[in-house]
Amino acid sequence: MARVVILGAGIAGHTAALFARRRLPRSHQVIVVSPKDIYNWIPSNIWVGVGAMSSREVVVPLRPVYAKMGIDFVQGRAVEIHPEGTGAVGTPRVVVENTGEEATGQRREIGYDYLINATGPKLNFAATPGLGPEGFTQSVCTYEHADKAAGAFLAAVEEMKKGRTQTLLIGTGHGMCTCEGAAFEFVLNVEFELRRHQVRDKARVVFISNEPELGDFGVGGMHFKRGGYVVSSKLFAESLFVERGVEWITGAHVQKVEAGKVFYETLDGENHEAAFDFAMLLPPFTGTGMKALDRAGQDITADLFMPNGFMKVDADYSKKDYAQWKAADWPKTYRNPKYANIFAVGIAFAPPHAITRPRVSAKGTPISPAPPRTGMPSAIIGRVVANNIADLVLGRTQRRPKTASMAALGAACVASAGANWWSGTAASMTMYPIVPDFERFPEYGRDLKFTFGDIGSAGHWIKKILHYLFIYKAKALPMWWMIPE
Amino acid sequence: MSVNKTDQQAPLPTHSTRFFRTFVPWQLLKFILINLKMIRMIRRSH
Repeated sequence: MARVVILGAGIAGHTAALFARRRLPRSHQVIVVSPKDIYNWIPSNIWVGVGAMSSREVVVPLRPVYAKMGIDFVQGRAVEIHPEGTGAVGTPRVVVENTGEEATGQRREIGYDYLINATGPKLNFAATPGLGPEGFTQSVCTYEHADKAAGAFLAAVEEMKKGRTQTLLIGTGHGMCTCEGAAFEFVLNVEFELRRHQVRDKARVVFISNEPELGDFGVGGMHFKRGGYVVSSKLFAESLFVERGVEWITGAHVQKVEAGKVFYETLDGENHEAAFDFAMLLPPFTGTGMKALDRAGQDITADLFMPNGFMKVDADYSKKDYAQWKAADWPKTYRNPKYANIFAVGIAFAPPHAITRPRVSAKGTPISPAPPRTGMPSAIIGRVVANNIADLVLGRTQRRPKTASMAALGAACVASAGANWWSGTAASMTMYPIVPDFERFPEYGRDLKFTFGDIGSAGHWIKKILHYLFIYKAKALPMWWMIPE
Repeated sequence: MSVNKTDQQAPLPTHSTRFFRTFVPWQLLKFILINLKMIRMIRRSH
């Protein structure tokens, strides 16, 4: 019997768990370790954050799903990995700290034959003083945060209904954030809801981002064919903002937040302040801070993790200038180079470098988006790694492992711009590949046949249908595996 | 606050473009086309 342990039950971890269970006979054990016993379909948190959807609609209780599927669930947080075992026990194990209601904080060891690290990020609000729901700004990174953001947003709307002007500041709360697409969606939804509440004339809506220009999205922007021209996502995004009267600040590193005020530096090295009544600023991400120890108890964290806490996999981590970056730098099988039975998927794996060209301000402050690896690619990587592990467990070693390099995967991004079946719209964008490959596609780095952008109600319908499909899939209801990631 | 307010270089949609964005028959057609494009891209990624 083999035991596959999956740390994390987000989009990557939950997908990996379902596919591992589907492929492996019940004689093999699949264990999921997650601090919460609830799955959150995070892309729909955008709608929760503006009060257009209840947080109940974006979550799935995991225990019944795992009980039905024959997956063991441990509510806890992995704090240590012992890839060589401990002392006299030479089998690999993880140390888990209980986060459930019973025996909170108690530690236990769980042995594994294969380990998938899908812990996702630590939301590093502490990187910017005053940032986050414990400080002066809102977030939509979790359904609880999104609920709180909705309360603050609707309170601002009430102020506007009383005739008071409000400034709403939305974007990224640090120079090294990722997930700019989520902030982009949120600002468009906020603007839509302000019109729906008939208070748009009372609101100043400002987008602040660490992207060098609008439409970068942490992937260096993209190009697509429109109206007989090849246009950039910068023009596409700027057009959407100008049309809606949304102002923007790009190349910004938020240094600190005080009550009603942010302090930020821009790429030209200048310092600025901006006042706000409501702010939703995303935090930067780091790894969850797991430690790794060898059999003698010596710290080997640096063998498994990069300094930012993300796990090393089969990527090329050698220091290179932007001009030397290649598609081949990106991992394919997500296997740790030192311990072949450890894998990392989703946000937990360490990317070799950014996708957007790195920039520093005139004062030397790095202000550049970190590479996104959420949503569709995250789930595909989870499935591919789970299937490869199943092949290893079942002794199908003659099969070549499937690969899922982000330089060979496409992504579909449907960015909501208003949650209403008839008046709502969404920007539908696809790109292939996610990481530009200038050797294969010398002109734009991507295949323009598979890279496009469009906005309209159809995008919103797709976004809404995808919401229900992915909730269905997360519940592992009949034929769930037929729904592509 | 230093912001890029209304960048006049950004192309703005015409009235008809805005109309068609929420015109149901046209969007139904778009719905089919976008889904086909996405399926094509997804098949390439799986």
